[in-house]
Amino acid sequence: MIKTVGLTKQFNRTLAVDNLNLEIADGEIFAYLGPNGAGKTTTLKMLLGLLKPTKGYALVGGLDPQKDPMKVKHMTGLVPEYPYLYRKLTGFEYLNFVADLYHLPKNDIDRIPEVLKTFGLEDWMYDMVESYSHGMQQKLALSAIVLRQPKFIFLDEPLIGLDPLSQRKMREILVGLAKKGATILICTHILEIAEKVCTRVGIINKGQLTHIGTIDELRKKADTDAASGLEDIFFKLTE
Amino acid sequence: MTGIPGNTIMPNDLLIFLRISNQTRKNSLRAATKLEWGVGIFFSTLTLLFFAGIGAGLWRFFGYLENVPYIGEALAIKVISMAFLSLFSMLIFSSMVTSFTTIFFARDLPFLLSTPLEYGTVFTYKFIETAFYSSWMVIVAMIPVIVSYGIVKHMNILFYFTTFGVMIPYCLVASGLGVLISMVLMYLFPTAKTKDAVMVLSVVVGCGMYVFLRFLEPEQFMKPDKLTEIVQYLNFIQAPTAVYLPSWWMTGVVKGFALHQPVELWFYSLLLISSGLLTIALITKLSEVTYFTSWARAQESVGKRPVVGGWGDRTVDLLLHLFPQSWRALAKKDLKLFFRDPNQWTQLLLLGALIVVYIFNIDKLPLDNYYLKNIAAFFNIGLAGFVISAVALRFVYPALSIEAESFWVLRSAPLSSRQIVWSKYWLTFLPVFVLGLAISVVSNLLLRVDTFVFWLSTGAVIVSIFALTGLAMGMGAVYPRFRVENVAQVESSFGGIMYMVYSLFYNGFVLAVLAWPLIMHFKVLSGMGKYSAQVTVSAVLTVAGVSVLVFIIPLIIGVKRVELMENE
Repeated sequence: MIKTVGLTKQFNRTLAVDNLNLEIADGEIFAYLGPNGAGKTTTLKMLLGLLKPTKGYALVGGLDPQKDPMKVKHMTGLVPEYPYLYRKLTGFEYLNFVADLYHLPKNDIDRIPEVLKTFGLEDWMYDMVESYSHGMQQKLALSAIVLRQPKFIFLDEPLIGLDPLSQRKMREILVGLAKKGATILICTHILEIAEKVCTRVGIINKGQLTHIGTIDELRKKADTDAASGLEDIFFKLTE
Repeated sequence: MTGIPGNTIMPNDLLIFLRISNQTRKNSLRAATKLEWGVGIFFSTLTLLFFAGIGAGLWRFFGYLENVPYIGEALAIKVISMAFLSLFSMLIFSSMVTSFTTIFFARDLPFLLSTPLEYGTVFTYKFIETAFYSSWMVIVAMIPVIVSYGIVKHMNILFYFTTFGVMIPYCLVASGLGVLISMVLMYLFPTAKTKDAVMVLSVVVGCGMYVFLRFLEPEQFMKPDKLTEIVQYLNFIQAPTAVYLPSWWMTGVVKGFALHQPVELWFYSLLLISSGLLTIALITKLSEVTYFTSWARAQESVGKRPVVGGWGDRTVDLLLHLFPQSWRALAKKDLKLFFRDPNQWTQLLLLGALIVVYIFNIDKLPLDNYYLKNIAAFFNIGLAGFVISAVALRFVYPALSIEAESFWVLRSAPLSSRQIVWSKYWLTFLPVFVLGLAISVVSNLLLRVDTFVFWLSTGAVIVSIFALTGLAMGMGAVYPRFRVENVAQVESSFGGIMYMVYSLFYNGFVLAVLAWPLIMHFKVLSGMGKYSAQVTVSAVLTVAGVSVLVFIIPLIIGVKRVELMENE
């Protein structure tokens, strides 16, 4: 479970995240929606222990990332919005490096070609990352998550740069990982992914969690008709 | 305008670029913090003082030559012509290397070439950028030379205006030649590898020249007994240097003013201006045929796959076998990144050349006295310390910064700050240790020093290697620069300069303390004193104690800084 209690982050005069109280159950795919600069990435960094909260605390799998950063990092996986990877490593070597960093067993390392094949990178796995497109680098960063299968997955705008086929593949993979018990938090402003795979949605605006619930619950709150999509609901709730 | 962008140069579009560059610079200045302003002013003052010092030295030098009968005047002109010649060749080389990045592989090119701008305009803008980046330093470097010579010769303001004015076409010709070489190379071999190949070749040639020139033993020419033909010498200094090159034309302008030769002055000034214009016309004409084709074909080139599982990988696996898994992963990753990047591994060639020349210098020291040899070995501790600091600045200091924007991979991994910093420390420590030990032990053997001095200096160098690398790693972690284009920007940053300042203090301290037992040792040898274990032990313990602090404190602060960096 992921839990935040009064989580707040202030950067000089900017209140990036304001008193965030959130609970995400195990196996849930939670969409964290909001416009640019709403505080999504800041929340995610605090959950990973990469940013220190100004007030409040977070628990990931019952552990505070500030107090037990190593244990939390072992349980979590991150794909940032711009996953800069080591340009002079091949895709295969990058995954090998990740496997070593996280002490994965030998049979997981043997799965590397298979994981790369899932993302259509099998023909590129012995090429250096510098020759990859942005989308391919995104896929490689996601491959590392699939290889590790961590208990908690944090994805920051994971579909930007992916082609439609890969986006669909990605959605299937996320659902599969959640079924195996992974808790997934997706920060995005692309509403389609939230609509198609997420169990619940949280809307953050100017640092505050303004609405939370399933799409049906949000639809009721927004007072929109049954046929209306998340886009209509989002606009109604954030206007 | 036709449907396809052509090669015409549109002056209005060029002005847009210049305006944008100007705006960018203004915004950077406006966004600078007080600390950045302070650092900027500090370094500007330092640079100004440095150039003022050089200028003062040259003023004395030219002043002295002015009073040397027969050859003084010719020698001064010879020195100026050699300076212009060296800078001309350096300018061609640096423009060639820079142009790969600015003209063919700049990040903004896909955007610029996708706009309806004429290709000729884009090329001209990029050429101006290249010429500016490569030339400004040359002009700055020549200020002390020209100004000091002008003062000695009591020149008026027109001399300075004309000389610096015609330096613009002089720089344009050199930059144009450099760009011309890169244009031909990119047309024939349109791939990113061409840039790497030119870089490697340049370093190899540079190292070879450095070693070769040192092996020529130029100091021999300064010995009067070696000058068999004085007339030959006079002929040499009075002859023009590379008369067909703009470097001599520049000298001609200076000489024309100094010796009141208006014909020569006008001739060379016009020659420089017309050559500058001709160079621009020539390369823009060539760009019409080659530029877009070369750029487009370079986009299609696919990088070569690296060799994996070769003897290099197997050796690394074997060597790292005993280390913990995450440490091994970091070390293997860093080694691969190092040996796959020509910008990085070619530094080892420079290191090799440095060791060879260093040892050659020691071997050629004209010392035939027992005491002098031992004193030289003692001062070698300081010199070796300086070389170790410079090499640590290159290898150890940027170790964390070269993670660049991929640092998020390590930050989100279950690695402590201590693991990250220390694993990088030990890996980069190794080449510095080998270098330091090699120059110390081999120097001592060549100097045939006695056992006491041998162990004193070797021990001091070993301790210094630990202290200076610890200081470099710690300061590199305290002042990381993750968003830089190349490693040189990390070294020349505020933290890098401060590291060199601190390491100079440390080297001075080591020499000052160890001079104490050395003096005692010489007194004992000359029968003027008694041996005191207390002196030796206290000096050694003082150096060791301070070195441990210099080693460990920056590393502790560095680890803490990385930890805080994760929490900021």
